[in-house]
Amino acid sequence: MSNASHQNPALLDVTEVSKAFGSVEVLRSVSLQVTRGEVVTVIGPSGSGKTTLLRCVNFLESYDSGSIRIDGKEVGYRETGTRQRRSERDLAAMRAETGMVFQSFNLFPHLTAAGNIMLGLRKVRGKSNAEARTIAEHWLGRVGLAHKADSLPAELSGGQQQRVGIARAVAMEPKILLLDEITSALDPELVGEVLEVVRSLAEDGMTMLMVTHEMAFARDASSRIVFMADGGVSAVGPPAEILAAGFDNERLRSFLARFRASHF
Amino acid sequence: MGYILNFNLIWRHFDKLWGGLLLSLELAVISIAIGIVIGLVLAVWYVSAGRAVRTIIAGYVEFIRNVPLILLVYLVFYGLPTVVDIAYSAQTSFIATLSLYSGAYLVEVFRSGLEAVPRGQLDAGKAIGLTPWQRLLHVRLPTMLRITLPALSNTFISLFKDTSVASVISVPELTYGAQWINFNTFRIVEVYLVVTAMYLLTGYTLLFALRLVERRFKAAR
Repeated sequence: MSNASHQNPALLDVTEVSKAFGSVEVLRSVSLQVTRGEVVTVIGPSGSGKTTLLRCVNFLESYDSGSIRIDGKEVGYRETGTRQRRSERDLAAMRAETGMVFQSFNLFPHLTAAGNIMLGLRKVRGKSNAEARTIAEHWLGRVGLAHKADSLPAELSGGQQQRVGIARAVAMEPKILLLDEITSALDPELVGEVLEVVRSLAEDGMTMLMVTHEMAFARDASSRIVFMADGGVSAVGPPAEILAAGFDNERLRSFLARFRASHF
Repeated sequence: MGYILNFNLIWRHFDKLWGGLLLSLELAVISIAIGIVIGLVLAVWYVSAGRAVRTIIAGYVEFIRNVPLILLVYLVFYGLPTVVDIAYSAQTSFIATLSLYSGAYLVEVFRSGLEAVPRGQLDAGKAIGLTPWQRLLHVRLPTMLRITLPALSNTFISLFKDTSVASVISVPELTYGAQWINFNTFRIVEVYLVVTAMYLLTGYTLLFALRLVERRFKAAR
């Protein structure tokens, strides 16, 4: 692994990031690298800081110390000596380089499926209406919703909404896609269609950092799994190793044991 | 007892009522339009400002909401010109007053609407790289509008009825027209029956139109 990262410098480089909400430390010196084309899954008990970490990567949350770099560029703070928050304009430009898909979809309710995808293309990427529409239709086709282009979110099922959410994120051609428990709010029978889309994006080489409770999916689709506990990275490794029953990490073993007990 | 309704005199002077109704609508439309601008600007400012600005805006809203409209009308029309050197017609004075009045109510409507926009939608706007202004324009305001539409309809109807207060400073709107006919013909029951019907019909028409707009938006929810 260290060899690979020498040849191929990390696209996302999280170094010793810490963050506290008041007296509660949610991230403790978290370090994590994702190389181009990699799919990295973060697992861990709730409250372990997974979602916060993800939200720091596109600066929906600020962090107190450490650094997060995407393609060598510091996220959120200026690269001058003192730690200074970037301007809103800079932040917006940087966020356009990362895509994010949310647990609760968060589609814009007043826009159609195509409209949701077109908003960023037009306002951020400066595409014309026609160009944006073409791109939107392309991605709706990719997620199997070409026929729903003009439907409003309220007219779509949860699984369909989430697929639009994915299309909205990838249509911006982000360098990395952040997936935050994207199937947790879905009825079980709708989970498959969403994961299928993610799987096909992974096959296309999309770099992804995802938080999920779908262990089977994590095992099949990830290059590496990161286990977080109490705000820190407790274990990192290939899925087969991390999910093996005998892995030498007491917390991970008990997490997986509890997980299996409640899910199977 | 023994009073015989006679509408003939009312119909003879109906132009006073018709002209009055048109003026009432004009007063309402102009004041509401200005009030919407005041309301939007102050509401957006309020939700993004610090405590000092919030206190000032809240002060304006509370002042207006706790003083009867008729008093505000007197204050602006009779009071203000005696203190500062300005002159304006009764109609201009009333439009200014009702604009400030509707602005205060609309700040409250818009502010609560803005605060009710789900955080997740704003996050989604950030995540695709929209700037704060773009998020306001393309995410927050459209959702706010949809949330506040029913409250807006009620406020608009109320404000339309409030134009009748303009009669106290002799603006020849609908209620003033009614008073004029009453003073000149003494057909008090007839004229107020007719005027009530006119307010009612106009109010219902407005309500119906606004409900149509609401339904269109609700379908889009």
